[in-house]
Amino acid sequence: MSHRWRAPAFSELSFRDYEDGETVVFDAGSGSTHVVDPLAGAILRALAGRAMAWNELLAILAREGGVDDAPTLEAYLDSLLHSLQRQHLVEPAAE
Amino acid sequence: MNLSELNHRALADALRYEGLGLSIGPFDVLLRSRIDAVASTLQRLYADYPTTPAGGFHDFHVAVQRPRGLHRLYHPQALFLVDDDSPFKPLPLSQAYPFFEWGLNWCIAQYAHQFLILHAAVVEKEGMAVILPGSPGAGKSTLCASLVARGWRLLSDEMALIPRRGDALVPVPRPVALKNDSIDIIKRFAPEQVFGDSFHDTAKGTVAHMKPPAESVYRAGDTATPRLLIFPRFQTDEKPELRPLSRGRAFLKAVEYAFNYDFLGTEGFRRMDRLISTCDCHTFSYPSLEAGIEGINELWEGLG
Repeated sequence: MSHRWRAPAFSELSFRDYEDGETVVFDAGSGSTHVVDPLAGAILRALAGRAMAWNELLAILAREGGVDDAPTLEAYLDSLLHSLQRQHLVEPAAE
Repeated sequence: MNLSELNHRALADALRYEGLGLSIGPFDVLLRSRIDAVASTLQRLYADYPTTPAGGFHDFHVAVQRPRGLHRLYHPQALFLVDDDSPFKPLPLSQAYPFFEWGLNWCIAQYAHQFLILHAAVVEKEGMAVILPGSPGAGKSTLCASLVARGWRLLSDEMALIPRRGDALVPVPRPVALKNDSIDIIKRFAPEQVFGDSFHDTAKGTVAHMKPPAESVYRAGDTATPRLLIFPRFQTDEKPELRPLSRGRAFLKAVEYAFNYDFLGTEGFRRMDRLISTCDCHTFSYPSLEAGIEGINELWEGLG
């Protein structure tokens, strides 16, 4: 798993958080629409601003998720980044 | 002046020469045709529509005409024209009238990008609208026709128009297009309604249209607030089943039924959000018209 992540070039994300716990993300760059959970939404919002290190993203997850069980969080972050990468919402950045 | 004030001769002459202007919801349409079946079906199904001066502005200039050439002598055909161009191959002459309806649907979906457009039926009661998106065969037009026959106002059986500003839906009431078994089902269910001829062997099978109630046409300028977004499915062998749908999932499903969401980009996303935010969202399987109407009424009454 890469140590730094970023939003793909030309992606331009809009977000809408619904009260039933889902976030809809629209990427004006690709024209695609996605439904993600709020934690994924927080990661995407953070990466929309700049590339970030894996540790920084882990800190965001811990804060937003209110979880401090490190192994669980780390595994979840890896799985989340993998899933978002498959949806072309994030990509590895140069170190 | 309404179309019903024209006798058949005046209507046929208008269609033949300078064109017949019709006000259809937010669109003014100028139609030309020398085909008698088009005139007679219009007279029956569009009787309550206001006409517009042929020399005035029209959003769409369309025509349904016989193509030129010897071919027309042994295989009579009809062409649909927009601004004198024909975007489609000709169809058999017997399908001239439905060709007008399909062609006008295409014009709206292709050009009316002032609206976010969903492929959906829309009905309204007491200012609150129910949107029924559906693929062909899902039964949205059948359910729409039955609701309209039981007193709901028709906004459209084909397109939900979501404008740039405000939360309200813009009506575009047109004849309800019924297909195959649905034609006889609705004729039995609502024999008091007016129906056009049945057109056989079209690409969609047999099609016929139900005339929209006069009140729906007269109130085409009255917008309605969307309150229910229901994805219907007609399933004869199942019990009625209503399932709540999360707003995120409803958003994704609604995008599948949008004609121009991609074209509108971020603006389409914002408008879809406005729609989803004002609606309770459900999937709905129903085995009969009665069960369909009952389910929609129950949800509507639960809105408070």
